[in-house]
Formats: sequence, C-alpha cells, structure tokens
Amino acid sequence: MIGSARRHAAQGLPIYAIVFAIMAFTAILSPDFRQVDNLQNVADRMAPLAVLSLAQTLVILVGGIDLSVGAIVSVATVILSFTGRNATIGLVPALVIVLAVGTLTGAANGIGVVVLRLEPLIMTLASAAILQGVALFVRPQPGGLIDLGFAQAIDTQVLAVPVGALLMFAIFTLVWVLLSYTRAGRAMYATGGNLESARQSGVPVNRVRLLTYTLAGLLAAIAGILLGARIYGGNPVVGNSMTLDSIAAAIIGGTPFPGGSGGPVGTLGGAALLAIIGNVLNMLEVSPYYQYIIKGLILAGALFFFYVRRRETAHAPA
Amino acid sequence: MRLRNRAVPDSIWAYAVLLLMTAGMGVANGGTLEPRHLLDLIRQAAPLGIVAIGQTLLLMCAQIDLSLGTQITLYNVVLSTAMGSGDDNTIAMAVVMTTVVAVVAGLANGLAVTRLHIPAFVATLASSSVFAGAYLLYTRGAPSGSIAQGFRVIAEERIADVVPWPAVIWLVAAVVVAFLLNRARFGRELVAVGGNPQASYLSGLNIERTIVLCFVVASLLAALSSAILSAYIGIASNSVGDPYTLNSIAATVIGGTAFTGGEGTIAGTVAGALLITVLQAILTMFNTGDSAKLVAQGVIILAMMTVYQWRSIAQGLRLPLRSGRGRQQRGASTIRAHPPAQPLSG
Repeated sequence: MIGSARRHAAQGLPIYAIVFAIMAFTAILSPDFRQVDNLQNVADRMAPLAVLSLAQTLVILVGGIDLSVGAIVSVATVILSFTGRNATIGLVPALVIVLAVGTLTGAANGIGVVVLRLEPLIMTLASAAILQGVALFVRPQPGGLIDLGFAQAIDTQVLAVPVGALLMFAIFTLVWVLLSYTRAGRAMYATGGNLESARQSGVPVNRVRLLTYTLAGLLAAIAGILLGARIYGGNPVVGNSMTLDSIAAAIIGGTPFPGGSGGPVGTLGGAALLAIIGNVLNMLEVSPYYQYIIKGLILAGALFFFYVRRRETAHAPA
Repeated sequence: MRLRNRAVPDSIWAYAVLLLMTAGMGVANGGTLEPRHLLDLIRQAAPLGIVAIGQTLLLMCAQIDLSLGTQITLYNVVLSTAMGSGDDNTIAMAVVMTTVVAVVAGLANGLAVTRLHIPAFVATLASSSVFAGAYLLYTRGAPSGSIAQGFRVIAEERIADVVPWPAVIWLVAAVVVAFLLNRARFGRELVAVGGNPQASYLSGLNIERTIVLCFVVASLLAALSSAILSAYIGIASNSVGDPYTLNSIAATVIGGTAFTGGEGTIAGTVAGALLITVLQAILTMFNTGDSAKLVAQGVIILAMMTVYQWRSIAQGLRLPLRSGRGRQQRGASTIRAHPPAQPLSG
C-alpha cells in the first residue's frame, strides 16, 4: 500500500525539478523575482488554481473529467461579492451557500454520470453552462465587494506564509492522506484504473464516482472562496479559463487520462508551474503573449513524456 | 457495430424538438413564421453547423477536437491579415493561405493522436493553447486588417435576393460529408474505426490514415466556418471562435451522435446546430439575456442526452423494458472515461 502511494507521488516529482529550475534561473536573472514578497505573491496567486486542479485531479483519477469546476469558481466569487460594504448577505451564510452550491453541483454531476450514464464531458459541460448562466444572472458585470475582514484574514501572513497558501497546503495534505492511506483512496485508484475489474473485485464503483464528483464540487467551491478573497470582488466569468488550466495542471503533474494513476503531489507542482510562468515572463520582461505558447508547449512536453514513454514501456517485454 | 443506421435514428428526437421549438417561436411571434425569418435563423446557425460537421466526424471515429474554436479565431486572423489592404485581388491568396494553415493544424492534431499516441482530448487541448499563442503573439493582442469587400458578399448578399449564401454553403458541406460518410469508402472505414478500432486494425484498415483525415477535414470545415464569420464581422478578432469549441460538441451530441464512436448522423448534427440557434433566438425574443440562454442550453443538452440514453438508464435502474438494450456502451478511446460496462445478456 505504501509502495503504490510512493509510486504515485514519484510520478509527480519531475515537475518539481522543472519548477525549481525555472525559479532558480529567474532568480539569478531578475532581482525582483527573488524578493520575498514576490514569492509570497506567487504562493497566494497559485492557491485557488491549485485547489481547483486538485478537484480536477480527483475526477480524472476515477476516470472522468469535470468541465464545471471553473463555473463553480465564478458562482462562488459572485455570491461572496454581496458580503462587502452594504452587505446584502452575511459572510457566514454566504460561505455556507457557496459550499452548498459546489457540493450539490458535484453531486448532480455524479448522478448524471453514474445514474443517467451520461458522458462526464457532456454532463459537466451542461452543468457548467447552467452555472455560468446563474453567475451572469446574479451579477451580469464584474463588481461588488467581499467582506474586507475575510479577505484580509485570507491574506494574513503566518510565519511569512499567507493563510490562503496555508489552507491550500492543508487541503492537499488531507487529500493526499485520503488517497494514499485509506480504503476510500485505494477504491478511487482501482475505479479509475479499471472500472470493470474494480466492480468485480467488490469496489462500490458507483458510490466511489458519485462521492468523488461531490468532493470535487466542494473543492471547487473552496477554490472559488480563495479566489474571491484575492480578487476582492465578484466576476461572473473569472473561472472560465481556470477549467482548462486545472486540467493542464493535473496532466502536467502526472495524472494523465484515462485515470487510475497520479495524485495530488504532482498536481501541486503542476499548478505551481502554471502560476509562476506568468510571473516569470513578467519578471524577465518577455511579451505576455508567449505565455500561451509556453503553456501549450509545456503541456505537449508533459504529454509526450507520459504517453510516449508509457507506450514504450508497454511494448517492452514484460 | 452497425453498418446501417437503425430504422428510426436517434436524431428524429432532435428534429421533433426543433419543430416544436420553431412552432413555439411562431406562436410567441403572434402566430406567424415568415420564410425570410426562418432563412435568417439558418444563416445564423451556419457557422456553428459547419464546424459541428467536423466535430461529428471526429466523435464518430472516437476522437474529439477541443481546438476548433481557437482554430476559427486563428483562420479569422490569417484571413484578415492576408486581406490587410481590403483589396479584392488579395482574396485568392488569403483563401489559399488559410487552407494551408488549416491543413497543417489538422495534420498536427491528427499526427499527435496517431503517432504520439496522445489522447485526442488532451492533445487538442495543448494545440489549442499553441494556436491561441500563435495568433496573440502575431497580432500582439491587437489584431488589425480587414476583410475585403468582395469577400463580404458571402454575408451580405442573397441568392436571388432570398437564400443567404451561408445556408447554401452549409447545405453543400453537409451533403458532401454525408455522402462521404454513407456512400464512400472513407465513411465506412471511419464508422468501423470509431466503432471498434481493434477489429478495424485486424481487418487491415489503415486506422491512422482515417483518423488523421478526420482531423484535417474538421480543420478545413472550421476554416470554412471562420470564412463565413469573418465575412460577417469584417475585421480580425481575438475571440470570435471562442464559443464554437463547446457549442460544436453540444450540437453534435444533441443531434444524437454517440460519444463512444461509430454512431451518428450529419442530419442529426444539422438539427443540433439549428436547435441551439432557435433556442437562442427564442430567448432573445423574450429579452432574457445571456444567463437564461446558458441555462437553457445546459438543460436542453441534459434533456436530449437523457432521451438518447433512456433505454440504458432504465436498464441501470432495472425498470421493465419491452425491448432493446438501448445504445450499447463501448470502450471509447477519446477519454476512455469509463470502460464499458458489459451489458448483461438479456
């Protein structure tokens, strides 16, 4: 058991070498980059994407895909944006609503996939459209304010680390323990690895998938809360680009399709890589438009690494 | 694997809903439906309908292309840059350039899938990022250039002052692809490869060539769709293609194409694209704004998918059924989201 946990963690390690290499390179070239507050800023910025990518990782792990996570983030910031000055809703009720919306959306996705047997891509595409509609209905334009005390609390530094980043680390640790050391975690790997074998081995695959989608919805809501606190307002489309980034982070971090391998360790590195690219290019004074190409090439490189290598090992004599 | 379509294809449901919605629109409009208004709807649906044909081909051979929307923007930028001066004699060159770029993009996607064995879902996700980077870098985020007036005729003029050009282009594209699919060797091979890649390989079919061809055709159709859109907007835009990736998938599955490959019709996809457009037109009539459109689109996708999956759902819930096992679940090679549940013999 510990052995396979180590193997899954090891699958995510190459990404850290790349992240540290890029950071070292940039730190040498740019004095601004190596400032403590810049690194704090990067850590703070990556937290929402990292938690969102974790949600995506879990769903990919059990053999699915979730295109609705970004829309959950948008809805979360929009709901929270009514808690600031002239609040129309208290902070605590708003947080409860956000977490409930995320969890229920995840559960609905799970029911669609398990009971209605819809393709995960279609099911979550539809729920993403519905949530996006809700977000635009509640707040057609970006605006509003989030409870200042809450935003400041997320941004407070404990031992030079922002609370948001600490929360991120805590969530990753919890999920990592869940996946590596519990029966439920083993069941998730088994379900994603081979649904039919898992079913016939007595793994309750439907319950596992249902609960995984639900947990992913909850994590997406938490990511939305973290992002809301950072942008300090509501934006009905802020999560749009994050869905694809979350998939990219999971894959770069060593959780490839069609599931059954990888895990949170690599995803944290993948999210860190996506989060620092923008900062690094900015610090090196490179045109921001290179970001897309570099992201794409990194993704392509990771894909090449996982799929081509896997194919070669598959062809090697056992 | 089914080489002939079932007697009543799934897409009949899409047409039924389309008919109902169109009738509903007529009622809401005070009981009248003007032919010109209907033709306008078809014209509006054409860009989506054309790119969705390509997506249908890909889904039928168990692939998917998430870069089609970005490709549409890319071709728009290529077209408007090449016609930068707005002079009519730049049109031919611009069309040739766009075609070349489309073929290269399709080849890149297809070869990534067949040669590097990267699942289409993630391969095209990566290529979409590279395409977006390419046009953003090239235009520095501020695209310039405009579409030549001679080219904009496509959008502005009608045949015999009645039929809009985009509708005709769409019809021709649909008929040609449907013919290839049902009557030509390419289509037979495509259905076989999508339905069961292993069996196709063992039967001596060239799977890789079929898949690469599908990607190239899809990219060319995206270029055609982009040409029509460009003729409308008349300028270069950084975001014109954005909605088309997911909408093309939506139109395809609403039209009854199975996600797992091997099953689907072009006629269904045409209905899917029309359905999405009519739905938006109805909601525009009621002044509901974007939010209701998105919600309605999500609901209609879910509803149609539930109808198509109904037999299989009923089986899962152990409801009594009179006949048939419904759409069989096959091992999809797009995402291979869930390996197929072995249907119990019944």
